[in-house]
This record gives sequence, C-alpha cells and structure tokens, in this order.
Amino acid sequence: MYLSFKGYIFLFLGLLWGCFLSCNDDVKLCEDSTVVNLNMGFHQIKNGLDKDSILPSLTIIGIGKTDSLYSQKPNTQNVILPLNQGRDSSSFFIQPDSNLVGDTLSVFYSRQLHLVSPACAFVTFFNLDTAIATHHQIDSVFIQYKTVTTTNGENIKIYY
Amino acid sequence: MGKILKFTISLLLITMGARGQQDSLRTYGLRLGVDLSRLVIPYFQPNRKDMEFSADMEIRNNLFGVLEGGWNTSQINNGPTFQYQSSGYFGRIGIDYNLLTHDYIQENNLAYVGLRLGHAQFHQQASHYQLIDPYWGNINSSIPLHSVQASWLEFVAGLKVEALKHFFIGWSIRARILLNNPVDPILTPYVIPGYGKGAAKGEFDVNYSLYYLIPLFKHKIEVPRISLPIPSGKLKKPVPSTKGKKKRPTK
Repeated sequence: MYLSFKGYIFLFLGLLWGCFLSCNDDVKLCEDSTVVNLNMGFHQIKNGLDKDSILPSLTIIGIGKTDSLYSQKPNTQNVILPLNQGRDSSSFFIQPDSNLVGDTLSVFYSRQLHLVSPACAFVTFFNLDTAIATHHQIDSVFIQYKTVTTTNGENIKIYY
Repeated sequence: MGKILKFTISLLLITMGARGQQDSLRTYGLRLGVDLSRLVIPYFQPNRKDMEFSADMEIRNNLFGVLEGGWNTSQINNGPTFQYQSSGYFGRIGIDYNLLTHDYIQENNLAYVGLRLGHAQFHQQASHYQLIDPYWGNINSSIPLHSVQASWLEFVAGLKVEALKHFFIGWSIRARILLNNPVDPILTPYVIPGYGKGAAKGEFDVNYSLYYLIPLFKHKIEVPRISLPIPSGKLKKPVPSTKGKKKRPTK
C-alpha cells in the first residue's frame, strides 16, 4: 500500500548510488596525475608590454647536483623543474646561453604531503613563499601562482 | 524560462495555500536512523569503514531539528610504498524543512531541504612512506600520529517515506563545502569522517537510511485538504435555456 511508485524511485536511486560508488573505486588503478613540477616561463618587458623571451641555448642544473635538467636546449621559453621534496628550498643554476654568465635562482616554499589514492600513493604539493635570483642576466623574478600541484599554470616568471 | 518559474511558483502556492482545514490527532516523536549506504562502502573501498546515525524531531510545523553523527576508520597498506591510518568521529547539527503537505493524518512522509554544520575530529599518520624522485633522490620517511579537525557547511535535499508503521526509508543528496582549508598543513587527509575525500574543497554525497519513529505524543493539528481554488468574482445564477420551448401566449 505504501510502496509502489516510490519503490521504483528508491530502486532507481539505489542503482544510481551503486554506480556512483563504483565510479569512485580508486583502489586498484592509479588514474590520477602524480607529476608535480614547478612551471617557469621566461619573459622580457618591451615597450611596456610583457613579451615571451626565447633563450637560445638553455642549461639548468640543480645546485648540489652534477646532472643537468636542461643541457643547452635551443630556443626555450618555458621549463618544468622538480622541487626538492626533502627540503623547504631548491636552488638552480640557470644559463640562458653557453657564452653568458649564468644566474642562481633560489625558491623557498612549504610542503604538504598529499595522498592521491591508495594506488597512486603520496605526492608532495608545494606552496611557494619567495623566489630570489642573482642578476647577471636576470632582471627580476615574479611568483605568479603560489601553489605547485599536479595541475598548475606558470608558477614563476623570470624577466631578462 | 520566466513562464516556467511563474508556473512552478503558482503550482506550489496552490498546493500549499489553497486548501481547507480539519482538526485531528497526529503522532509526533523522535526519529532515529542508520545510514545503510555506509555499511556497503567497504565492499567497494576495502580500506574504509564508516558508520553514520541520525536523530530528528519536528520542532515546529514542518521544521525538523536534526543531529547526525558517526565515525570513520581508514587503513591503507600499499606494500613498500606507504602505510596510512586515520580514525575519528564527526557530528552534524542542522534543520530540515518539509516541503510536502500531509494528505492523510498518519502519513509522515517528507520531501525536505536542509542545512547542516559539520565538524570532525580525527587522528592520522603515515607510519611509512616513500617518495620517488629521480633527480633530488628518493625519500623514505614517516609522519607521526597527530590530531586534525575539520568543519564544513552542508546542503541537503531528500525524501523520507513511511514504508511500514513508524519505519521509514529515505535517501538524501548532500553538497558540502569545507570551511577550514587546508585541514592539515602537513598531510592532506585521505578521508575526513562525515565529509568525504580530504583533498576536495567541495564534496557531493548520497545517503540511504533506515529510520524508526519512536512515538512520544499525539497532538491536535489542522489537517490540510486540497480543494480547488474558487475563481474570483460573484457567481451568476444560471439562466435556464429557452431553446426549443414554446413561448407562453400572453393574455
């Protein structure tokens, strides 16, 4: 007497809920992005306008490391850099051309461990605090997006 | 769009407003519920165990005070990569407003919208974790057990239908907005008890619950009865038709 049409509504919604749960089943497969990198772009101010700056032969090495992240990469406007997950700062040697004196960029941040899913495990998210650089070639450094996660735009702008 | 809105409002006003009234007795009481959907979660997500209870009572006509509470434990063991544990409690306080009119005196069905304020208190730890970093070097570390709190605002819409006398089944759809973000500056929680995924600033959820109404007292109420709206203006006395009738000759 009480249930007829209502019963069908509940059955339908039960199936919907089951579907909702199964869609959220993230236990076995890692389908999310786990790549967290600092996104950095090179710029210059021309006639009062922000223009892209193309570096002719870019070399970037992490301070304290011997391996280069970029080695004389031609015509580069932006790069992605891994931040050190074990410390609250990372420093990089940045040389825009092989015959120019390079600069050192230091980035300071706070870290947050993020459990993506049981299958994807942990990644570190960063919240940028400050960025400073020497001024052999670099004019200024500007933090655009403070949060460095799996999805982010250009975090740091470097002006030459 | 405007016409649809006008029609919907008119329909609502007709069903809620234009009705006669009659005095009768109605049962009031405390309705206790258990969320059945939480019992099913471990079959889909074996690392989670949840439980949720609720209590509601009509405090004014069609307005219900609601208390909800429960707990969650999460335990994930992903071999050499990480081990994570969390457990804690949550509570919600709020109100529901019933949109249905009662056609029968004993029918306590509800179609409601509501608001909740939720709070969770829980502990979490990563007894071991490994971060793979081919450039700066891999990290093997741990985060000790620590206390975390979270608060959120919740919008609810749902149904409660009396399937048997004093027994109700119901579902609700919930939209939650986290009020303190980040909840934990060191480690994003996998699950916030009573809220959902710890990484989400907003969360949707569906609950399926079974309720029992403990009848406490009966109260005389005015029972609404739907009647057709009377058109405005005076009713004219119907004029008898003279068609086909012979005109009486006048003397």
